[in-house]
Amino acid sequence: MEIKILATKSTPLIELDTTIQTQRIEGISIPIDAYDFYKPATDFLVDNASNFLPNTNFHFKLNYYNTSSNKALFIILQKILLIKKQKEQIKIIWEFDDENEFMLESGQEFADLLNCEFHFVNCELK
Amino acid sequence: MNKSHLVTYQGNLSDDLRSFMCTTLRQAMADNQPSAKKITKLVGFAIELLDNAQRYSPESRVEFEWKTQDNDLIIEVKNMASKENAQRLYEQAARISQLSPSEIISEYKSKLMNSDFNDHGGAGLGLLQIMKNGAENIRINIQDMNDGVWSCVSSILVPLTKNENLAI
Repeated sequence: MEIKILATKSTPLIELDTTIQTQRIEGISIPIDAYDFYKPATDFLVDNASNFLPNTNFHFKLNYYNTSSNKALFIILQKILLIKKQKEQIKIIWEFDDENEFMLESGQEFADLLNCEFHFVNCELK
Repeated sequence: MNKSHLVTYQGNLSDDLRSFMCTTLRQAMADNQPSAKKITKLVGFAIELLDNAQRYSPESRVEFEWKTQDNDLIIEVKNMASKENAQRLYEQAARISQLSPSEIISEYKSKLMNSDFNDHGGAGLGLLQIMKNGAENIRINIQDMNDGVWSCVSSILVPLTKNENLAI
């Protein structure tokens, strides 16, 4: 099972596929209604929780998001953690630009609030 | 008083326009090399105000100003809204302005973790995020324009260091 939502000028790429290891949410996220935008992905995570591979990596590579997206991403991360409870090898990989310290701090805030280990990766955002 | 209007916009607001503003403001500041972290925060303030304007303005029309005044950056957004939404924004800003930094962080985390989205897709976090990230204050002026439409002017003041002021 898979879901793919292409990136726009205001919304990120979302690629979730239970048959492969790498899942991705990537880009800028400033939709007015983040609940509506992220709902298909949230539902997919709930409906397919048992289908993800045991060694799945969820990659988050965001260069900016608004507070509405912040809330939606928090909910997405909560759903991923529920999957991780059953499949402990699952990793959350938070990629950030070397010059975008703000996004690193945002990821650290999520990790603290969710009491979960994130793997922080410094990379160049395009 | 030393005052400069750096970016102004009047017109319709859309997802594409907000995205364009986000990119343009980031690039304009990056060219002058203030810290990337500060850029993201300042652009974030503008985006949150524009989000609110687009979410609650019946016609999604907005007047946007990004200006410096002495040693402060002022981001100002004017839009129309219903009486209910205008008064709610006014009261929320007034209440948040009274909170201490630790209370702001506590309320922000509580809302992020426990509250639901509202009917307009907002999370009620925008003003808290702005204060949490270093705005000195948020001022909301509202005015009855008759016919059930109210004018909302949202202003954020951010103190700048001398170097930041020169760069922005």
